[in-house]
Amino acid sequence: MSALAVEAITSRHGLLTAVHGVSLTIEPGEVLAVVGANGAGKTTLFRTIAGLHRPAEGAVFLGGIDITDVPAYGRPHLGLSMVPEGRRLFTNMTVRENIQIACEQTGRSRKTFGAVLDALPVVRTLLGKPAGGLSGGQRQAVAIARALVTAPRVLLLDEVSLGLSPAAIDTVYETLAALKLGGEAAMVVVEQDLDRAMGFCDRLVCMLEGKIVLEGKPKDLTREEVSQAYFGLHKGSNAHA
Amino acid sequence: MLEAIVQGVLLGGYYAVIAAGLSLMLGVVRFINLAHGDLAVLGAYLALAAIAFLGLPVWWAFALVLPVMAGIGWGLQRFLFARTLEGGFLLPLLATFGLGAVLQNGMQGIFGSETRSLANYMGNLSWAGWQLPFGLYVGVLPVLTFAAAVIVLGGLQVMLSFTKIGRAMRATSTDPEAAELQGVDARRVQRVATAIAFMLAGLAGMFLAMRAQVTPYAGPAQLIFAFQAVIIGGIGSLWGTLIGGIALGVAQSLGASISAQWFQLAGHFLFFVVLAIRMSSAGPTRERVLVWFDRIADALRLRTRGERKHAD
Repeated sequence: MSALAVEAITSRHGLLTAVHGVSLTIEPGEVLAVVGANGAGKTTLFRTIAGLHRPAEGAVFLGGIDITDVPAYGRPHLGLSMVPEGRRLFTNMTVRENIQIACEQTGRSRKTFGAVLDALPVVRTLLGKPAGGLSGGQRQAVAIARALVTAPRVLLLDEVSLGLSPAAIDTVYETLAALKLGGEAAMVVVEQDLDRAMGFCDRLVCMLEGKIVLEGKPKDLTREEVSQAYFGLHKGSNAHA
Repeated sequence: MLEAIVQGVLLGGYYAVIAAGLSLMLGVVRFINLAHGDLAVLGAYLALAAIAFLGLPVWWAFALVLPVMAGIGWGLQRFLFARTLEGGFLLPLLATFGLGAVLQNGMQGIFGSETRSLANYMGNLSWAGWQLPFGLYVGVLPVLTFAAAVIVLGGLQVMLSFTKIGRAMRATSTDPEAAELQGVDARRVQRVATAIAFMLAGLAGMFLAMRAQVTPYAGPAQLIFAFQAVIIGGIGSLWGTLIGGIALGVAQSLGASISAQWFQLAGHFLFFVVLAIRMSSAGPTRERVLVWFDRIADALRLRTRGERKHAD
């Protein structure tokens, strides 16, 4: 059974259709990268999966259960967690409180909290600090810890490297690689850096104007193919609309 | 002068209670409740009704009115405010403006327009007091009101800092959508915050009716005082509302010692000066004053832990 299945999702912003009938499946333990230019519909797709945006059509299944009508706040309880674009930490709270709130709201134990800190030692050193005073890389690490503490079966990471220094991006991806090796949780990563995405994921989809125009394993795709799909130049685009 | 300052500080306790509710709604639910003053007056009239019709002693009336106000707040947030919030920032303002008009006219229709007070039901509490050194005289009721303000704000501080619902409120106040991604039911949290805000409005209204006369149309003035205390103390700063309330109370009290008309004028003047400083572009004077305010707040540990170093 797939960890996450998106079936013919269409999402609109008023009259604008941002996602056109997109279908996707992610297997347990798999890492899927979603790439595409600005306005391709990646973030709207993520927001729809996370429950922040109600789809006009289609359905979302988590572990075979239809969660389309489950509100956003109910999805972390079921094992779907998201690190949003821009991290969006609670800047008026400490790092500990940022993680604690996700832990207690989803009913996870202090043991889970400890396990996440073991997996992300850098976060342990920041616990007492106000989240508003962290660097971009530190914020991303805390945001990932905050998502992990809910013990997700599927982890959505939107624009992982956006606004981070190259060194911070390396650190974040090293952390994600360690998590990837460590469990059954599936990851879906939105990434604008094609090389980074192709080097990290098990499978890649490229979106253009709300549709999937290319899908495949990185070893079966060339950088040029992905790049052409990214900019809408891919002649044999197999859109999954 | 000393007498006026002491009376002003004690009056600030009342302003802090009514301002805390307004501040909580502004921070967590993210709109200005223009009916807040009318809700305070409603609390007073509900207490008067509980005494008159149920024959309850005044403190039992207090105990009854608070959960009733909380229930009204919960229901209005659930069925009215939450829906208006989906229509932009103007709709909740208009809805609460209309709610205020409904409350004023409703209370006048039910209770009449004559002035009323809870003082008649409290024995000698409304005039009892203590004689202090330097010729100072303080009333028991103002001291009780001030103590209640400190207890209420302390209780809110403990709740916001150390409880699950408190953390959820702080998260929702910062970013409701991000809070939902952590499993927080932001709408429920907003209902809880509104219920608490209504309870605080009701408490403030009962304190008002204990120390003064109220009419169905007394609400808008109370809203202005609450709003001034919030602005002077700093939006989003819980203990700032106490400082704001005290500053407003002292200004009014000092103004009244000059002339009766200066009671309100002095408060408005202080509000105007603080607002002008806060709204003006950054400059040496503004920076100095704000740093001075921040130093006082930090010295007295008046902010929640997270916001102390990152207040802005």
